[in-house]
Amino acid sequence: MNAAPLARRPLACLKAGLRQTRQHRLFARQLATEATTTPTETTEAAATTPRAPLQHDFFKLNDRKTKTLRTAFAVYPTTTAAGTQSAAPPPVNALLSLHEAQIKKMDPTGARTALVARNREAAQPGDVLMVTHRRGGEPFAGVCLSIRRRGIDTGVLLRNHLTKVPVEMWFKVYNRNVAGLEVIKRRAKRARRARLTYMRQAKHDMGSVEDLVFEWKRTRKVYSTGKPAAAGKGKDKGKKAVAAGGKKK
Amino acid sequence: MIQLKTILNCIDNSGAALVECAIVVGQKRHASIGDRIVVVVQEQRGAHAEGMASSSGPKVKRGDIRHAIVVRTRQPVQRRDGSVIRFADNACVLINKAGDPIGSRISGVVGQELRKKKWSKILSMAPMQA
Amino acid sequence: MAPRLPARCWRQLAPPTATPLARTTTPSHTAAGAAALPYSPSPSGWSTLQPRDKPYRYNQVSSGLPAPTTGPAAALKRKEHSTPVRAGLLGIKKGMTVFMGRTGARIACTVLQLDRVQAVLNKTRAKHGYWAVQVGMGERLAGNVGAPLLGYYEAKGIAPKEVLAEFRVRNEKGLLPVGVQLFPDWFHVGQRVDVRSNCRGKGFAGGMKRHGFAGQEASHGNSKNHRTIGTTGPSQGSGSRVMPGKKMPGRMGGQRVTVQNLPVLLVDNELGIVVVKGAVAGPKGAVVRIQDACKQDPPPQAFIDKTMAQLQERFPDAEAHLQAARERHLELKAARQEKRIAELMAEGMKPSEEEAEIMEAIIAASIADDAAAVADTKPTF
Repeated sequence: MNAAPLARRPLACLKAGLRQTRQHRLFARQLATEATTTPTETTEAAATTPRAPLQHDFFKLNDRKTKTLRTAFAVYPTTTAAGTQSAAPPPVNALLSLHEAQIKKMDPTGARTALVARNREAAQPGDVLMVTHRRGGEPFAGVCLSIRRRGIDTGVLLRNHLTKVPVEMWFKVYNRNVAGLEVIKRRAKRARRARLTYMRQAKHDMGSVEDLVFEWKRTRKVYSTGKPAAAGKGKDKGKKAVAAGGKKK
Repeated sequence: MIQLKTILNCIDNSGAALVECAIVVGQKRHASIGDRIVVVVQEQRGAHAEGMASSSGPKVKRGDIRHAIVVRTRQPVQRRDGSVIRFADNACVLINKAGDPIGSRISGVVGQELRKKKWSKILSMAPMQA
Repeated sequence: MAPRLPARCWRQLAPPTATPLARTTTPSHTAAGAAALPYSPSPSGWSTLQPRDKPYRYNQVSSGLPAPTTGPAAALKRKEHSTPVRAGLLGIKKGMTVFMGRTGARIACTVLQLDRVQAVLNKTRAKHGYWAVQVGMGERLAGNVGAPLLGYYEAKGIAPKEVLAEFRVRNEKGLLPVGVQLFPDWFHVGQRVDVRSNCRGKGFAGGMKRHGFAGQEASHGNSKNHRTIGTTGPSQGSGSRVMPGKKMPGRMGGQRVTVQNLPVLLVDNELGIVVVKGAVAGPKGAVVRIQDACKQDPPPQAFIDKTMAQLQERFPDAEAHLQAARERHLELKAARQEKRIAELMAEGMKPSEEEAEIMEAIIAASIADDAAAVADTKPTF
């Protein structure tokens, strides 16, 4: 704000200042321009007066040689939009907010997010994971080679041998088609790489994880007190698996 | 990405072991899982080696020109839900002109894209699909 | 030019009462004689015929001729169907992400963010020759704006904008109240839009990259001509020249690219974003223009009415604000011309009594608000 008119027109500047602070407060509260609910004060003012009074500063243009005032123009505050003070800049991190909203929608319980978080409890490269499809079909298990964290587009890369043929699959963690994502076996020691591409080499290849899956299913049957172990129905099972893995550590 | 000169594994019991792609049928691009190609049989499966060939002997011989369906590719294939599948080899199954498999058994995993491309006969013969 | 007539002829034509005969018998070229004539002499001669009021208007429909197929009116008519009904928005490309569908589909999409998009100017057929809405986005410091534009924004009562763009509309129904802010709900989910932006500049590129030429052989005696464009045309007999428009190496990219018929997946007023399916040209931060798809039917009339009603509801005093800003602009403009802008600045804006009352009310309300806020926050900490 131009401070010069403060002495000459104390009230006008005060009003503008107040408007700005109010705008700031509103902005801080909702971190967004809520178009449908304009500030109540403004609407009241509009109701009492025929039109909202003009508010503007002056921008001075000086003469280059003499450095004296050449001319000046009225410059309206950037929050002005057709008589209201509702125009605030949009949030800068719109993409992050969009991701958060999408993740909340696709993963209300937070189990999937917890499974790919950056901490010890989450799945890590080297762990053996199992993905269950929503539309039936056999669950795909495999050793996790890498986790690609991109908000809503987060995915895991699993590698397994099916009928002696090495197969690699990417799964999008937040996709509806991924019904369950479970940790079957933790790697004994934390992998020292983020991407275990060396596991594609014959020397380091883990081979089929079928026996690990079988073992895991057997133990789970024991724990689940005789209930039939329907292959991966929910995320809470995945969470249990995470917890169990943590204990094993 | 199966194109001219690509060598593929043949995973049925028709008698071929390795085949070479000669033409991708019906499209100008490379072939992917579920696409039809014309192949030349390069290597026969030994009659006694793996027990794959049926008792009546190999149905195809080296140098035969046959049609085939690609069932596995090294090139990653993306699906509608964003998941991606990648096999360690390129493989195919021989068919006759009418589209029926020449072999009677398939020995390995095949891609699910076959379902979309209406090769259900091959799918039903396969021991596993991914 | 009408044919010159001898004096005796125009004597008959001239109204007897209006011009005295004595003067008109000898047409004089003196100033006094010219002033008295019923026509204004042109530098190339003079005519007895009445000057045509609009001499360029000929072949009119009113004279029984068919409507012209060329000209501004015909052009507007021709383009009517490919011109969107409503104005579009300006946005900034924020980046790409995916949209996970309910049925498991994963759709790549682009996030476009609007930053204080306002209608700045309406262009009309009568004044400008076509219908259009000028839309501005973002903010620009007054110091980075030239004096002519400062005056322009002053007259609109709008803060200087970062970008200005013009959207053609079909007719006057597409015009918007000046100064109103447009939000993402200007579009509805599922509708198709055209998105225009400048693509990334690729620099000076060869024929293979720029136009997809095949290049030349790697061997068979080829020497140092593997990626060159080859011949540029036939030789003797065909003119020995390069045809205009021959595709050649040159600057690639950096031009405007329109992606048509992108479905809108999401609109969010809080985040100020429009999410469209697929890719949009240009890097992150590129300015994009979003408008109803010109190759689709316009949005349903009910929706258009709804958005216009929303504008009216959100900015009820837009017109009054514009009028006040205009009046203020005229006042300031006069002051600038008379070199007394300094006085006006010193004087500032005198609040009327009514305004002073409102001010008091606002001060009281904000004090109460602050107190409430303090009371709110205290127990929590």
